[in-house]
Amino acid sequence: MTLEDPVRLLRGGGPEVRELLRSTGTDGPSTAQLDALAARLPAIGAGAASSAAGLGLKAWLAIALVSGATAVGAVAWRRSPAPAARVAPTVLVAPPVAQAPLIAAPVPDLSAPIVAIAPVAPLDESDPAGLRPHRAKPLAPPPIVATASAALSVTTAPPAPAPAPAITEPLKLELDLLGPAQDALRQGAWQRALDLAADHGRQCPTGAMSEEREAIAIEALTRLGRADDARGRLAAFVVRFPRSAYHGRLERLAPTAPSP
Amino acid sequence: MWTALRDPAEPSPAALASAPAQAAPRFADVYRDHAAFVWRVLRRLGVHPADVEDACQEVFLVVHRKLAGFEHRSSLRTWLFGIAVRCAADRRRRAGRSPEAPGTPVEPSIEAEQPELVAQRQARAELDQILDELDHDKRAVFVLYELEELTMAEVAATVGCPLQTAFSRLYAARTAVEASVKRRRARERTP
Repeated sequence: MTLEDPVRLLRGGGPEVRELLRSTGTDGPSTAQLDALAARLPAIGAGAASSAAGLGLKAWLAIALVSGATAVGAVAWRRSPAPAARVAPTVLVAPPVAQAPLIAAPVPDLSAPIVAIAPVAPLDESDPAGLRPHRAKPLAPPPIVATASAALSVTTAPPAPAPAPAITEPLKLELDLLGPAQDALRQGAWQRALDLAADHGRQCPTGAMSEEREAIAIEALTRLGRADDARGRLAAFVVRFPRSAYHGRLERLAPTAPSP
Repeated sequence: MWTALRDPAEPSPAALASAPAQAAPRFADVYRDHAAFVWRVLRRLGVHPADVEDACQEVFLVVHRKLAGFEHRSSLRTWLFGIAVRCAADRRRRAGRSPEAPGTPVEPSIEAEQPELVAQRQARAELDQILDELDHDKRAVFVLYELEELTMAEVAATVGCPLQTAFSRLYAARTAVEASVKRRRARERTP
């Protein structure tokens, strides 16, 4: 026996049920919401897959590492939407390193590949991951791997771009502290998240991720029911990071201060 | 709960073994094509409106991490739905531990001169309450069929149950929803 799909309630149900179901018409996201979400997702094709999701909740971490004579990467952490209003992403730039010439020196082993660093496109603040719906946008070009025989053509390429950002030790330390803090938030371990944020505050008081640390701490305090502490810290956050993209979320989350 | 039964519409393991390997879809394409679906499903599975964006990000971070290993053993939408269901369940558990969560109004207020929006929001909130009375399995079938308008075969494949079971869940969910609406209207009429 074949079962046929029944008439859907939106068409065949009673008027009261239909009215309720019609109220879901606004459940979908707006284009702006999708754009904001896209801005919070990892960049594609930069080798970020392994660690990006590990940071969980509101963070994204994009890591691009290409190894050769030099190691070049880019790290960015961002949590909130509003691409147009965002301040520049938190990126630590490594000291410039000398680029090894690609063909000037003799190549002793012709079978060994020479790894050339692909130009790293500047981050498009309005759509860093190229995810904006309904917009076809090429993603960052993949690394170029040149063999010795092809090296001549490499030398005629445009001048190498400025050295790309690299992961630095301080940034790694910050990630090691705040990554678990994010995980703790995701798991509902508010006190642990707060403790880890405090650790970060002690070890990296002026770190590049101070903004993220404060956002974590405010959320943790709120979830712990420490409303006064959360309000005080949020007030300081607004002063210190007046253009932060976290304002909307934190203000929704943190209890509103009583009216004077 | 969310059993991993094989989708009857899927190719057999033998066919999969002999078929040429399909490349994993590009993350940007998955996002472009399915972000709105994931967003709606999370909302309709009970994620609070203020948290949907965060939940959606969580889903796509998982997608980003696992997409390279996606083997086309199920449809992409089925796979995404499974991730969204786990994320929604996880969110509900966490919300239960949060002092902020229970019934805290976080949506912006609607201006008084927009009565139709007020009515719609009230209806939406009421539907949420009614759907919250369903168990997860029935709610998922109800949402996918009545709101996402998948066919019942697609619903069964997506939630990973036999077609007959999906029908049973749908009828049970419909009965519960209609009974709840009647009770609520009767209470409203009671002086």
